[in-house]
Amino acid sequence: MKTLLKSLLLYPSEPKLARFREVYSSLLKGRDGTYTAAADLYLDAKLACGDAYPSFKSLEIELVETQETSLLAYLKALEEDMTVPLYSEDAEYVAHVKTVEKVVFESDVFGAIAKFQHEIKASPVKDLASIVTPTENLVGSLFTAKNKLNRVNASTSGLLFGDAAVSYVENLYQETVDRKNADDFLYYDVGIPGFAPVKIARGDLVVIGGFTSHGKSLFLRNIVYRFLTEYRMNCYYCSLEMSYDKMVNLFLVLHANNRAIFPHGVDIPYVALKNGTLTEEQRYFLHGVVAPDFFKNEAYGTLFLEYPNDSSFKLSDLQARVQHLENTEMPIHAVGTDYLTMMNPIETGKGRPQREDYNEMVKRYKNGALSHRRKDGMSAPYVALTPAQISRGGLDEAIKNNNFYELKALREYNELEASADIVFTTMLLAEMRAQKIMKIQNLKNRDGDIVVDPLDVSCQFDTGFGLYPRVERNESEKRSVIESMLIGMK
Amino acid sequence: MAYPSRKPKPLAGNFISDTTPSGLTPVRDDSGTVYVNPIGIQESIVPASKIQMGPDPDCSFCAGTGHEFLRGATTECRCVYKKRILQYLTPMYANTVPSQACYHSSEFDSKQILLEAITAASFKTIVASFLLRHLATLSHTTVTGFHAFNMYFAAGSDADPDGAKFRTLSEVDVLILSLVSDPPVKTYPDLFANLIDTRGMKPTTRTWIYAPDGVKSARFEKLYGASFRAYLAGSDFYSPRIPNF
Repeated sequence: MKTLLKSLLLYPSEPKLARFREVYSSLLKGRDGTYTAAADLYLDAKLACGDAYPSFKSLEIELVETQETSLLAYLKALEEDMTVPLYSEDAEYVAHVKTVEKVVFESDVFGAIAKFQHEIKASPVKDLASIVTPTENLVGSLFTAKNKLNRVNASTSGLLFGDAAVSYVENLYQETVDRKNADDFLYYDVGIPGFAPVKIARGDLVVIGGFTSHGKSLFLRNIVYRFLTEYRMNCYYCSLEMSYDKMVNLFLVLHANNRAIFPHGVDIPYVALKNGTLTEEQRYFLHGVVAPDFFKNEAYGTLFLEYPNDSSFKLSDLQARVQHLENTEMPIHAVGTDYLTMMNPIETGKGRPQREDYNEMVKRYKNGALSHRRKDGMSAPYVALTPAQISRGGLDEAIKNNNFYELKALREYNELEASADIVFTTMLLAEMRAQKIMKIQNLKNRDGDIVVDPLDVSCQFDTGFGLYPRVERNESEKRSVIESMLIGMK
Repeated sequence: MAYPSRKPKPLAGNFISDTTPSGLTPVRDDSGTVYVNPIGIQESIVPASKIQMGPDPDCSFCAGTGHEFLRGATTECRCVYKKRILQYLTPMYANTVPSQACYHSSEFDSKQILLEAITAASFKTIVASFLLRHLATLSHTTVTGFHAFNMYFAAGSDADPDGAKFRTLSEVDVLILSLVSDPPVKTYPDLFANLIDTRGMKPTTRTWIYAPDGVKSARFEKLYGASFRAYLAGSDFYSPRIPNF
């Protein structure tokens, strides 16, 4: 009855109403007709309101004005009969849910601590593993509980009715204008002029599909790097494929070889950095110029890199870590996961993951991006990015189709196709690698036009794996080269 | 004028044989048999931008990567660009030294050009300079008279079943008819005149005729026919002023 009424109040519909009448009339047996009339009056009034927020208060005012005192009395009795709280305003309902969440939170926290104590006490051996594992579990549970508190039923809800709704949309627009005036970016691009219509917004899920070793991680790294340096976004990057140290070096060489920032910089080949064969000049440039700039320059965002040492790292762990960072260190604006389906999709860790589990995980990843909250509890969606494997069959189809991928190439986990707001694919066949060109294609763009044709992008495979848009020489530049040829051929 | 009949006609002299490359006259010298007018066909039926070339591994601009930075992005290195242009020019013109004077001159921008009384080297220089002046964007074909004749009669045969090869002569941006020395064929006047007329109807095509002996010479008349000479005299072919090389 309680659930039914709550649902009815929030989302009135005829079938629900009929059910409510049926249940409620059974409760009203033995009452006189006036009482039933009051209940009917209330329900009719609610129906008359349409989608309006129903409240006893409005009905009460109406009854006072029309001097229907007997009905008023029965109405009040009806209100008392209903054991569920009725909320005259949206805020009251939210406050109630918060209270419920708080109770859940407290029980979760105390439960987690009790479990921790039990595990510690139960283990006779006090080696590192027997302490670390329960501690990690405790920390994880605490993070989960903390997240719960910051959310309202894991979604943002509100009745769009009345002055409150009007002022809400006004504030929403004002917030956008404020961000714009503060030179904050509302949309982000991937830095390739040909993909200008593809605008990434906070809360978007960006999927980068590609066959293995076709530059998915490389493209993801470039996008995250662009977020950091161009848009001053704080990014969380979780690599499940490459070690922490390798990732640090890869981001560093990306920055070192960025000729837009260091136009006269020294080329730093990643291979030389990896093998310790940098020249003295390269080493000085990397450690004396590039690293301080990348890590200390306030014009850039901050990067948080994570390589989970635990093979059972799950999405909830990732989201808990992101929330923890948000609450303790810095606002998080983008989360890159390389790559999502490498995680165990089953939260309990038991059983063999099925395709549905992965699809569910994709949904939760997207949901986490949308429902992320700031330290103060306000909504602050982040951009979620992940590469996705395309099978050999998908690649073969694309090659047959003149190197053109179709969205169905991501069919292995169809939720990637459905949940993603923006889908890119990368292609790096042997001949393209020889030419140092990567083919990037846009397959989905929820908020704008799809760029149909794949674009060729230059890649610095020899140095920092940076991606650069390819431009054609304009007429005067061509003429300049040709004239230099005329001189050279003499 | 109508195109000549599709039926091959007996040629004056046995110029097409199993041992002699068609259209070329054998000349014996110290090294054996060589053939005059070794142009045949020289063409780049696509602009330079469509030609795929790899980078120069020793390039000082790109160090073999094939890319150089330009306006905050990358573009293909000039070593690749130059290789594409040389490929585009075809061996015939790539080995010449283009002339600055021709390159900067708009004298050759007319739709129909007649180059007379200039040496083969000057002719190549002018063509190369002209193609570079247009930034290697114009598709071009240089063909001898006899080769054009062979292409015409090959259309519809196994060698060119749908006539596409011959059709390129009508459609290519710049057609250069090299009328230096060809076996005399009676159908030249009809063939050339039709080809020139067909091309003339298209607004973007350009047709050049290279006749080193001059169209008024007896040799030209003997090889290519008096009626073709008369046709040229009544057409809009422009003889540009040749700059000093």
